[in-house]
Amino acid sequence: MRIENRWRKRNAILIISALLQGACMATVSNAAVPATIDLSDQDDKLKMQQAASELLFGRSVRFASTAFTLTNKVVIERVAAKDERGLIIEGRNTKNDAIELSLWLENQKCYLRRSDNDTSVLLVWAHCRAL
Amino acid sequence: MKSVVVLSLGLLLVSCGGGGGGSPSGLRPVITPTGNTWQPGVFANETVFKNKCAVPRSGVDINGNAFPDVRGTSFDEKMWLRSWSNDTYLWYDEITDQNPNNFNTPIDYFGVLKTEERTPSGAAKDNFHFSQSSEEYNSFAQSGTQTGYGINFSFINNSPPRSLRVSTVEPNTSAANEGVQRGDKLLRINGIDFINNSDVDAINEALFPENANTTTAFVFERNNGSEFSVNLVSDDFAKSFVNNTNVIDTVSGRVGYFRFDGFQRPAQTPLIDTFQNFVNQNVTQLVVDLRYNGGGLLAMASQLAYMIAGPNQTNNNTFELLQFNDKYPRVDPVNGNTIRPTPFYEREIDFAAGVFTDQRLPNLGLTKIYVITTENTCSASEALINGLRGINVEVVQIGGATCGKPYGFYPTDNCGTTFFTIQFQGTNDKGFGDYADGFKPKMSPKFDDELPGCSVDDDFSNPLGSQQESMLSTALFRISNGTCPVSVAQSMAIKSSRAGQNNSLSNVQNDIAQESSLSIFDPRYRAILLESTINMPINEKDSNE
Repeated sequence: MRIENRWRKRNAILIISALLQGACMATVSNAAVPATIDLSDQDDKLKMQQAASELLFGRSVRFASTAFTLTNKVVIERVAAKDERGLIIEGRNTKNDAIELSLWLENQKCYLRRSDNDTSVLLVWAHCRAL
Repeated sequence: MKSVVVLSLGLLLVSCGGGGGGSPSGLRPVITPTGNTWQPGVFANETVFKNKCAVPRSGVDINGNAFPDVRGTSFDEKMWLRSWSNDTYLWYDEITDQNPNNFNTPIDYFGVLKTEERTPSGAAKDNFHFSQSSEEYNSFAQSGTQTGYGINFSFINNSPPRSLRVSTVEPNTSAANEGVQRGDKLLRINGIDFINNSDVDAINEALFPENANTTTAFVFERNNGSEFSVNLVSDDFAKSFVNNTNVIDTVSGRVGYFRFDGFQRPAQTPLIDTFQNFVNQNVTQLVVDLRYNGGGLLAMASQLAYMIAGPNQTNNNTFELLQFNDKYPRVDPVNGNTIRPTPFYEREIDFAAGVFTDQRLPNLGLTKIYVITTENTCSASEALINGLRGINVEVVQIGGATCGKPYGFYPTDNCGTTFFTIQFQGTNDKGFGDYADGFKPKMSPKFDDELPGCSVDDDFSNPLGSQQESMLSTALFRISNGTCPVSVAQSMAIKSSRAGQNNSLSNVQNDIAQESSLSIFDPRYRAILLESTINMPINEKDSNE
């Protein structure tokens, strides 16, 4: 099991980092087009995770390096806790609490959008490509 | 709702009236629990204590709403756990009501708010009581991703002398690129003796990295006895859930095989593609390898069951019905919804939107399937087996007993900790859900949690998907011959005979084994086992098979 204070520390860092990276809440208009991005660079992936964290009010978010490479949408969900045998605790999940994040390009600016509450963050560092 | 309120009041009165003795029921004094003190057997509504925290959180939740915490005490937190458990725990009437003041922390107290009963095999009835910090619970990841080196381990022995073997290697990961193989046994990690060293924290930290780009030195023992040293780099990688898909021609027809490692959202499309491929190739028999499938989304288990059985068998039937404790026969106590069965889902699901799409699922319309299982086959995987059996699809089990988890819960936060307490049990269309000791393969099943099949161990010496791998080869043998290979039958017979202390039977078996040394199957085992189990103590037999 991960240690709680380590998570608190990491989340605090994530929030501060997101602010320093220049990710800021924004609005995506209807003129925006779906976009993709290459996150194979670990620094870029970290920045994207920080931006997603901002949309989730500081919660930790992780992406695979292949996220947003073929599609502008990524579904995120809670990290499944596991028992000492490595089996997921919530193995009979009756809920659907996934959140969809999507990438958009508008006026050469790249936005990450959280679909369930329609909030977005401007990714000032990102070089997105129209899908 | 009205009936629930009436029922709850009724229960409250019953619990409050106990022990009064003598007085007419109409004049029985009613105790109104205030929550200020612990009174054995008296439970205030959980809302009295909810969100009263010794250390209220500041800040907001994932939706930007302020935490509901208000100033309270550790006693309030423990009393909430007590009332909440009494209200929603599946076996609330098996909890010993202990004074919360005798426990230092709410988590300590939560540890005793469960049944201490045992299953028929002697295992703990509730093996799934769990809590974690809500901060950790609310950490997110791209659906289907894992952080690590790309190795999935089989935990053979967690304590010294530890034994951990590589069960699978995820494609396009550090482990795959560096040549880690199934069956590799971990000897050392970052120079630490993995088998005997007592520095558990260092081992855990090295084995389960929190972040990408962590480099760790591994030394494995290979299947041929040689040592293999490698440095692996962690990453956040997309896990592959549908693997080793193949169509195998046998004398009994075309057999579809795939290994399915988790009912997770990214698995839906490859599952559909796999079944469409099987339909296109006229598959008539199916082996679903669930040996490493610990479960996941119940809805996807329902979809998979539909793709196996097809519309004629599933139509209007129940895949699974959730049953809560006897205080809530009709209403889900957590979300307040009327309890309705989960049907067999026949369409694709848009999990992000939470709706069905227009795409109908392909199906094979099978009346019999073969599943490969181990103790890691758990939860939604077991729901799949149980759901199919509920509509009379014959499920033949190859491997070992499943984990035995017909239960589930709604993780619930209070004061920064998320608690998992068993709140429901899943039952199939026939109302069956009692498999707390797991489903067990038997040559002659006698009980509802026993399935026809062959008991065989996981085979780390062969690649998964290989027809030489013991579990798959046993499944293929069973398909072609209708029974277990002789080596498996011998093993099962010997275990049965040990359980029954039946020496004469053992001798007979030895004789038969010698006689049948050139044949790969001796059908007489079946009859002998059938007879021998009649006089066998059931518990001993179960614990040894």
